[in-house]
Amino acid sequence: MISEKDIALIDAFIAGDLIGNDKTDFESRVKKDLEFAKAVRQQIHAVEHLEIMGAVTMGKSLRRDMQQWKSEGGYQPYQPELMGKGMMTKVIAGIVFSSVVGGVIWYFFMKEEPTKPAPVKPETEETVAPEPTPTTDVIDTITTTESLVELKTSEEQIADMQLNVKDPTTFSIHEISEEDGIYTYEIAYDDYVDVFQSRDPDIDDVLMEMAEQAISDNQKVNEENKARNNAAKQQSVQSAPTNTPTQKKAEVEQKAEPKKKTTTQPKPRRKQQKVDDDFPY
Amino acid sequence: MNSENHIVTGIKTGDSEILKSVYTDYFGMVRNLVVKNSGSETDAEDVFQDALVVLFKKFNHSEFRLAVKFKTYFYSVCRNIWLTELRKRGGRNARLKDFEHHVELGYEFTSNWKETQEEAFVKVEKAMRYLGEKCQEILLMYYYQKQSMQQIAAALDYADADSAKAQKYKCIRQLKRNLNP
Repeated sequence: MISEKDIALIDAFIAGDLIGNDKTDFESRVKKDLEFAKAVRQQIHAVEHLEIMGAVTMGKSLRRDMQQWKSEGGYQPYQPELMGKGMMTKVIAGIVFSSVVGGVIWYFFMKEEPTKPAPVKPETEETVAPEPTPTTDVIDTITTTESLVELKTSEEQIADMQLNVKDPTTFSIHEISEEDGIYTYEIAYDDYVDVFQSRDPDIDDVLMEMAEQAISDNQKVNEENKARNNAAKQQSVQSAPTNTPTQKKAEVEQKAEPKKKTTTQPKPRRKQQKVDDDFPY
Repeated sequence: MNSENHIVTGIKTGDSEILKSVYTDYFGMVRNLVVKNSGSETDAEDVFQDALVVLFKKFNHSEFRLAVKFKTYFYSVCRNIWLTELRKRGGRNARLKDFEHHVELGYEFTSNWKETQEEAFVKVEKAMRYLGEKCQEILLMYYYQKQSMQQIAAALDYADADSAKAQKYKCIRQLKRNLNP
């Protein structure tokens, strides 16, 4: 027979109030005493049903109240938590995407590409052969000068040098420092002094060799032009038609006069030479 | 966290003011979850009601501890209830679009959990009808409202707590018989 005390004991077990030895004793009695075990099962069953009854009753009452609360003013507008974060992510992604697209467009379409002018032909004045200035051929002229502090490949750096240096004889370069495989160079040419960085440890040697080559090439061009002008002058004298007496006289007079010196007219270093359309050679 | 405990205690005791504040603060969230996932306004009300019934039972369990924010736990319960309902309606692989963080509850709702609950309710309601009114009150006050024997004795005009306890003993024995004929 289950006593009132046993009912209270089972209630305490269901409520989780039994601890330590009390709980151990209770569990061992359930294993040994079949009538007690049955009483425990039935009481758990009954309590569970009572809890369900209480919960469902509460739920039905709540449903009625909800209709009233709805009519009284309802509920607060909902602000989704995850939607807010998603929106933030979309905005950030949009900004990043726009920046990337804008950068690509700028790089391919908007960036001003340096234009390499056509090689300058040596200028002549009548029959006087000009003495070419050193600003021709290999290292040509360009009107823009860019800052070279950004890290570029060796090829890009060399291309910049070719485009910027007007007078290779003024060219100098030396390494300032090296950090993490990035070399910083000070470079000077014409009237400019710049600093640039490169991963190529030999770019100073390469550029210096190019400058020396440019100087050498310019000298060759000067000599060739000089020789060509002299030959042309001689040829024009020999192939001249028989002169009239007046012409002969003039020629004699010209010969009698001191010979006009045919020295080249050095041009300003930075001025681009004008090329005549009726270049005779 | 005090306000969170306040909500838990209010739901455990069926406090009308607390339940109203839960409705005011969180029904919009539940409605959004249900309506944005193929449900209706009435479905949202059902889910809200069922979720509070579940919370009532869970919070009254002695071992229950609320380890996350109430909002997160409540959303997770509503989410599971609505997902179970959607799958029951034919979407076996139904998935939900979420609007809040949610947690694993550690328990699942079977597809017929509501029917089982309703059957249990009908059964106990019938069993209770065979008890006297006083018995019904004692049992509900003790097991549903979690009141002490002193409180019950005072409310139902018993001489003392022991008298109320003796009466409760008779009532629960009778109920057990009614439930297990």
